[in-house]
Amino acid sequence: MIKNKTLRDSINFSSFLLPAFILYSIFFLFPLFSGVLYSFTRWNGISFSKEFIGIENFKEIFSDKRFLGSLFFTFKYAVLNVIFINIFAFALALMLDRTVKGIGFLRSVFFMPNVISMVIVGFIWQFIFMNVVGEMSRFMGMPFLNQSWLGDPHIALYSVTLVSVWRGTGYMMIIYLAGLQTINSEIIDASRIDGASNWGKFIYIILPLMIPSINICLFMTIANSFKMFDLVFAMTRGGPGYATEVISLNLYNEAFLNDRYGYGIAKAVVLAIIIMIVTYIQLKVLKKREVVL
Amino acid sequence: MLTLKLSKIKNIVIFALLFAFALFFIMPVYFTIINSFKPLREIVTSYTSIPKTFYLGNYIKAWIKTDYPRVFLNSLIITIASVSGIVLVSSMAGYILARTPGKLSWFIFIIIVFSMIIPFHSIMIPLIIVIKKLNLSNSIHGIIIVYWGIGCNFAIFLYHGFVKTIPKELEEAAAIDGCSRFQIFFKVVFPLLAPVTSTIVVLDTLWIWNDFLLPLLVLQKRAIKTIPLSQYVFVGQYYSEWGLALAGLTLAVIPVVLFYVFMQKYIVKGITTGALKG
Repeated sequence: MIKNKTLRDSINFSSFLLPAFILYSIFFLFPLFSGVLYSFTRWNGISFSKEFIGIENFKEIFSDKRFLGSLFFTFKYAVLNVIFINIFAFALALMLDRTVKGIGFLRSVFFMPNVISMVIVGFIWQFIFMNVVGEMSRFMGMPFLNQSWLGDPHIALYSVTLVSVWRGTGYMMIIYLAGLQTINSEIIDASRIDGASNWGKFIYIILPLMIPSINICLFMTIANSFKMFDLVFAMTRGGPGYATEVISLNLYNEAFLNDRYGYGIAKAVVLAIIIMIVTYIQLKVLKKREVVL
Repeated sequence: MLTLKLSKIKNIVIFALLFAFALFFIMPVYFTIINSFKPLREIVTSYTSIPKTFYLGNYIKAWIKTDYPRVFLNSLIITIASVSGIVLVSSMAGYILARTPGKLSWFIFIIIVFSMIIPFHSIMIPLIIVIKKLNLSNSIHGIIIVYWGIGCNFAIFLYHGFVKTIPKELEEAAAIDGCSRFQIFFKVVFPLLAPVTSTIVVLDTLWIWNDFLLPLLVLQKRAIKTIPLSQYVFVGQYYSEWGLALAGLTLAVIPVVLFYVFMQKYIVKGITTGALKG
């Protein structure tokens, strides 16, 4: 009887788990681990012969100026993106956390860009940058707006970030709003009676209580920044030159345009390692902060 | 609600700020729409003027050139089938992993959680090789199966966390009544998982409907393109005719904006629960 039960349990276990686990193994785990093996080979993706070349690919990565450039660009973009999205999202959440007519509509407006596909967002903004902004600068009398927003390698970083902030802010705003709504209003009332200023309330009460939401949003925006692809693919194609080529676009080009699969996969492995390190540091830092509280 | 007690002037300042932000958020959409109603001659004279006539030519041409009904249907089929599949296999797996004590289920769960950090771009090149070897490229059912595989880790994670909050007694009672494990799951447990299911449906629908990279890599034939992919090709072709391109983009955005308008409540809830658990 007992044996029967364990047998039945293991049959149940497998029949519930296996559909998902087989799919997951074929389309996630296998590519992940075979990728690590491919990264030690020279391979064009088509031929049968994969030449084992040890760590040659990884050596090449660190002298590959174009890749290092894309790495640097991704980091700069990530820093700007994370800072601006979180500041704007938090500020909007604070301003929108009230019950006034029309507030629901405003929330929808700020979130709306988020449901639009990144590729489409990229094209829309390409049109705005190339045609609309210049014309607006003329009749608004603001000649400094008349720049080559996507054509100047020094400005393109900020243009890409601007669009990314435009699209990403609403999502984080919703998380911050949910966080604000969990704060007990009695605490705020009590502090008011104690004579706390608005600034004091913000610094000493709201901000500390919002640390969990801030952690979540930082975590998500950092991860999203390193996964950015569609926007630059549609809006700049990594240009001008390679000025806005993010890591994921660089490895895409390496594999599918230059037909260097082995080398491209090595870059993909490096990207995964970078993300793991960043995530690890984040978890450490964030945990520390929560303990302090 | 913790509205800070602010003076009237400060409140006015806040609303002015919000209004300015809102204008900035609406601005690109506004220019997209007004220019999509202008014929080519009018658009090149001014990008910011309000259209003189209500010209629909761009929309008619874009509708035909992008094969809109076809790509819309493709996107719809791919999204619905992928999301339903993810929900089915992940809810079963998440349930059994949460309900089976022991090292094996713990180990599998840890692998699944850990792999959530790995970005799609890191596995995409070997994944394409797998897809080609299995003959799944250039087919709608192929891309659906791939979404099941790459979408299930996050969903399993969410289901796993939620199953733990459901009391076991209900299942035990059903077992005494002679229900099999499958009957228990589908009749008793799955309905109780509805909050997580709606979170996953919302998040995965937005992800798969808007996804670009996987369709770009897998769907090369014209007849099986999704909306974002067909837009990419279309805008590339009519690069100099912005009116036409913008009409195409507007058409592409309408379904998802409608989805947002009707599902707003669920989307907001889905994002917050997804973020808190994830």
